[in-house]
Amino acid sequence: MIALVRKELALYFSSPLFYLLAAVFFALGGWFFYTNLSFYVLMGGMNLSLGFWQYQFFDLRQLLLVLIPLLTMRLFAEERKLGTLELLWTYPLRDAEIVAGKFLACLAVVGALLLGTGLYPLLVAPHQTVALGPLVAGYLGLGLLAAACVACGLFLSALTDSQLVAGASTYGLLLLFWVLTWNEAAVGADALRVLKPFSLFDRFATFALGAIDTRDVSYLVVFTVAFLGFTFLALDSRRWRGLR
Amino acid sequence: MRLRRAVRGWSQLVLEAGLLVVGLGLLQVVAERTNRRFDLSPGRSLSLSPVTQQILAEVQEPLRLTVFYRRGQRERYAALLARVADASPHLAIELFDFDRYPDRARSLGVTDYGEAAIEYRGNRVVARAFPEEELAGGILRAVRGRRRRLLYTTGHGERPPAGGPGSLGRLTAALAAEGYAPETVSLLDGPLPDDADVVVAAGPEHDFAPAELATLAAFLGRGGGVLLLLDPAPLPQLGAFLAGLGLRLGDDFLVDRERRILGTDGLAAVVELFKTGNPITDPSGHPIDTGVVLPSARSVDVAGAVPGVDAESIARTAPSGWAMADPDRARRGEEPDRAHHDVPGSASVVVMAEVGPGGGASRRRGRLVVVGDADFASDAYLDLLGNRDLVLNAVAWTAGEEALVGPHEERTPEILRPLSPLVLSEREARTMLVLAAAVEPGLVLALGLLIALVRRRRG
Amino acid sequence: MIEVRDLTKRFGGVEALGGISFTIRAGEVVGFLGPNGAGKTTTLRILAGVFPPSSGLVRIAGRDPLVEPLACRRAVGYFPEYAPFYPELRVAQYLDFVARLKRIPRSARRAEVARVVAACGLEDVAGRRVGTLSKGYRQRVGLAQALCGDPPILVLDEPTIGLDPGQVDEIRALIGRLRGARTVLFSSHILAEVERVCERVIVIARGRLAGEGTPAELGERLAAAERVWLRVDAPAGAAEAALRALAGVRAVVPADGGFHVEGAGPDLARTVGEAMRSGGFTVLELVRETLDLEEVFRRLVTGR
Repeated sequence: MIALVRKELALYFSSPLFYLLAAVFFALGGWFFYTNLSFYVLMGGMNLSLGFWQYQFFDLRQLLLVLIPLLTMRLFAEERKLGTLELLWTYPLRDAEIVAGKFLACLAVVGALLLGTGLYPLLVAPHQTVALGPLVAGYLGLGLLAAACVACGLFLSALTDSQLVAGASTYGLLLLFWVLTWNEAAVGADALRVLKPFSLFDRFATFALGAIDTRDVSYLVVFTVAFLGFTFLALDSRRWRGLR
Repeated sequence: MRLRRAVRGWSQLVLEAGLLVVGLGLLQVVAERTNRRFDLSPGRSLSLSPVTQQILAEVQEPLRLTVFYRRGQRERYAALLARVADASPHLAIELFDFDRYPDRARSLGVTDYGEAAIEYRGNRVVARAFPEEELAGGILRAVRGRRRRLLYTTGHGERPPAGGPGSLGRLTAALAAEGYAPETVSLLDGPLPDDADVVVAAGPEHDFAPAELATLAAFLGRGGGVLLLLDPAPLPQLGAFLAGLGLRLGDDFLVDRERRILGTDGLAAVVELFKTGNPITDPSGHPIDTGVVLPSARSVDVAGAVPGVDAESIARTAPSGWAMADPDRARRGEEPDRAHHDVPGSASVVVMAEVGPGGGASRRRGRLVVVGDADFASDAYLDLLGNRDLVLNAVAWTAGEEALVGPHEERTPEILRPLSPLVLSEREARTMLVLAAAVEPGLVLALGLLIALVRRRRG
Repeated sequence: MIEVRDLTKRFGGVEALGGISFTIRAGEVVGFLGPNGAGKTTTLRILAGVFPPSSGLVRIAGRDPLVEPLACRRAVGYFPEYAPFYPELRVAQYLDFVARLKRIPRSARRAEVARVVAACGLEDVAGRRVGTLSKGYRQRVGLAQALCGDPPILVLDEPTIGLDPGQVDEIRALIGRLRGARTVLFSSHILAEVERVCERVIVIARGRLAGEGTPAELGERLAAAERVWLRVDAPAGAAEAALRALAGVRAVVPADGGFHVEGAGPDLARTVGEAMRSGGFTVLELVRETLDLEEVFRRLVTGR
């Protein structure tokens, strides 16, 4: 499985598209950081720990939503199109290892990008003490959210041989989990109550504010495991469905 | 170790997927029920304060909370209400847009944005839904069914309850939030009303008349609560009264040259030593561990045992302090020394006492708390260290309201960890922008280009 | 080495394999022949471990892939049709990846990669990205990947498709070198190509076994399977009787005013023509019909 992770990482880091994506990610992240900071300082923000990072994390969440489908769409769709997936199935490699390997590789890539956003607290640190608490909570939340989105994208990528279809459907599904509770005026109060626990993005809110609720951690983990499980089932279905 | 995998079909796939979802769903349901919050935010602003939790613990029957918010501000209340809902299973909470449901608001007595109607056992209380203390206070009022009366004494140059220099505006507001309806009273107007819970003398400058003291004594005898906040000022009659209860009111001025607290002219005394096990400084295991700052303090101590009075000192200043015998010398900023009869070491500043025999159905013993300072509770100093906790706990205990005794919502201690407002110059801000939005992505692009070039060369 | 009995495979409602049985001994090089869509790839995939059969028995080096799937996969080196590859990886990099996946221990990996690179003649391109190689080289990379780990069994699906004759020869030479040392099963739909390398040929058509034997035997049967279309000017039954009486004629099928005559070659046409003349019949039309592979196989099945 490690070999698979290495291969995926090699493919990611040797593709010019990836560097472009990463650069755009950092450029936008940096821009948001600057505008959030300016706004906050302008408003006489006393202590950044009380509220600033919240906005930054919300913005990073948005960036993740945009970025992740672009990273996950190739995971299985490309292999299927190339025909190399069939070959993988002739090596002494379990299906679960294939799923895990691709998942971990993509997650590592996203993790590296999140690590890059660690620049922002570093930039603030010389000017004001940065409380670690909210940062820990926020990044933990982002990490779990990223895992959930990657798992979702991985699954959808396993269903098709077209990267385009994989990417588009991942956007669609993730957006669904977002807009679920977006417009409270349109959705009734009762529906809101029922749907809210499923919304990936509402689950992230507490992390951004600086607290870790075990139930939110649990939901994001459950979400991830569910989609990894679905991916495994999708791969496994070749045994009776054939390779198409 | 593989089982013989028979070939499957769609139905089996759906079944397996379904089982997975159901299994995970059950796990999630358990997680929802057993949620634990790790609040890493500074000031723990995302958890309910222990006082609020205690109040909620008193809710034993269904309590209905209906909050009416201004459009666009739902989130502000939703977060707090979610926390409150988590803390008690008896709460039914509903949020309504005030403008969309004006009739419902009116029928519940809500007249303004951001108010909550709290219904419990037939009582209905309208309180502000934000911040947390207000809501908790409203809930407590609904649970108790009545307001508590808190009377400030007047006529001795006491600090005004609201407005004016050195006032107790913030304290009064906090007390109001907890359900104390503040009033002023003159002790010369005859006996204190029976349903008064607490009488507070907040920093009298002039002494009390014997008649007034007799009124106080009678009130104590009836089971009332008295809280005396006494700045260093000559109060001989009061001193004698307290002596009669076995308490010694010092005529000194406590200073602490070593612990110069920012903004207190170096005259403040710092209380560091708290008696454990009492409901004011150590309520249910939540000691006031941040200390208390008394900007101008005098000592108050237990002198000797008096029958019918159970008194104890519950807070003392730090051992590095001095009790200066002449307050004027202290105010002039002179250094303490033994030659002037100044006494080094820790001095007692807070005494709590239960007075009288008690007995009778609702009769309890009179409660008296004497604190050797008043300005620690004023607006300027209320939010330093544990000042707020001390005075609110003292009021709560004196009033007999155990539920309100405990650590209140924590404020970021601005003195001990100065967090200056973040001020950035144009240049600094620009540097940050460039580094974050141009340099970092630029480096990544450069890396990508480099790799592309290397690959092209190597084929 | 490979044993297959009553192998079936269904995909949804479609039957891809309807019951195949054959055995391949260790060290044999066997050709797997059949028209497109016959089920060759499906069978090879089952042997390589891509998916299990719907029913039937499979033994790879004595093991059951349903019970010991990983061990079976380790025993088989697979070369899929159209030689898939990762365009962005370099040859050596790719083969190292394959070596890792095949669980070759670190100490042996480098040597193994070098070995297959040499065996497939990839030394010159080892540092180039696979996507930049010509088809011939890519096919060799595919073979190298299959050879990696030195598995006892090689299963190759159309290893020479799309190659020019020179390249085909090279591949054939490579396979030939493995004879005796490794068991090789490779598929093709070109008989001529198969018969030069293989000791034995298995023929499959429409999901079933159509025949088995050495290339010589098959060639004979093919040669034996000639057909001509004959129209004569003669009373109905007479010509037919004369034809049937001919030695070597296996079937006479009347149709459209004439006869399809099938029989043993060589040169059935001449035989029939002479027979008609000597029988006094005027030959109106005599056309040699090429037998399509389908028919060949069908005949092989029916044994005629």
